[in-house]
Amino acid sequence: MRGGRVLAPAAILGVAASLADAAPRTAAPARSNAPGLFAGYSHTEAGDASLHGLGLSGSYPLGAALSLVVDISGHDGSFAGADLGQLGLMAGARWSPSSGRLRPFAEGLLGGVRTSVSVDLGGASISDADTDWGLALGGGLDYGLNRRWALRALVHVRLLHGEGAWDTDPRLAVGAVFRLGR
Amino acid sequence: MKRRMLVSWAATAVVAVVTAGCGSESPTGPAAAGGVVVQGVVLGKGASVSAADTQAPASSAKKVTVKVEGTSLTVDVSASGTFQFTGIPRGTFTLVFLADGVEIGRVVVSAAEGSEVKIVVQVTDSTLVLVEIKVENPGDSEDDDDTAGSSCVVNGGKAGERIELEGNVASGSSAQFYLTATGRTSSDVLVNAGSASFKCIGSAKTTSDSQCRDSVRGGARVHVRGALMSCAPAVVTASEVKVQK
Repeated sequence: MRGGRVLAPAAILGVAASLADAAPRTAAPARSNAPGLFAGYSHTEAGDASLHGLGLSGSYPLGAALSLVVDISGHDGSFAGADLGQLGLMAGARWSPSSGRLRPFAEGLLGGVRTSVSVDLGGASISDADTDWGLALGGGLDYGLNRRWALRALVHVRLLHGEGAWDTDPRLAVGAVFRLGR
Repeated sequence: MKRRMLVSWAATAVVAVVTAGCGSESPTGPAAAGGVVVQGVVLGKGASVSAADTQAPASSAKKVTVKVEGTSLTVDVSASGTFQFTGIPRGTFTLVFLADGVEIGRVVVSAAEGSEVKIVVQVTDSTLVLVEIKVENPGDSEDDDDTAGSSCVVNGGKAGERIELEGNVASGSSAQFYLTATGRTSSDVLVNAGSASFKCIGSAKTTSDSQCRDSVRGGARVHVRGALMSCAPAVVTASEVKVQK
């Protein structure tokens, strides 16, 4: 199940990369800083636990290189016999200096992550949930396939405060970007 | 998500949760490559049996630290409530839990070289409640685990499964108490009820939940519903406690 989660986005990326290679080199790159939607596989480390899931984000241009970003992520996994789930909602700004086929970007987001823990005790279960607040700093790279579509890989470091502790949790995501507008 | 039972209940797990200041044991085995791995999850005081909590804001939460007594091994519990140790010397060792530097409880574990210990505890204001502990020994297989779990029975209930017990409270309080179970001739059953719902019925009926919890003291007649965590010692994590008198 988890292997499938890992392999599926890799396969998507492979097919998409093939399509990109097959496309004429003269294909127009993605528009500079258009509104965009991203969806893809996401992985994060929540403390000592490795969690897998889905990342969604939307961006809206505020200027030539600056965009407003809203990022939603959901992850789950198990650790020490407990099931963990994380739902994150963050918003912030993205800076993307170039508009060619390869578009690196950097971003900073603020928001919260709600972590739920459930322990199945056979006939009963105990659950707990807590919201941690913090920020995510990171960046990534978009590889434009055509005017509408691009592949994206991004890395975040999430600094979250909860339970009296600060966590520094990495997050990786890969997926596809669809650019809106004309 | 359904969690698979991967654990050998027959594996040695000498577990005791005691209040701060009580004695403990030190690691008895030599440090070896690999050693014992401990993975843990700490639940907050608002953890509930059936629903997400209404826990206090994170800013007011206490910082929880876990130490392996007699070693320099110390970790802070992460914001997501997880912690992990690697390379603990095999044998018997004591995990000491601290909230903002103040000891709130201990768990004594015995584990063989290469074992993986999975532990879930709940931290309340000043106490530690053991919710679950499992020891996976090297070479344990999933099939073996199921068999081992089925072979361990207390009052007709199998380890890892639902159990109902009735009896008198021997000692303790509503968060954790020893139960002299009806029909059981051996030692009392340790009931972890920090996350359980309480209901006082009959002559024990009270007007508030806190009054009901307060009525759980030595001699009280109770009916406990929960899951049998281990047989020796007999440990039950309760989901419901009915106080009868």
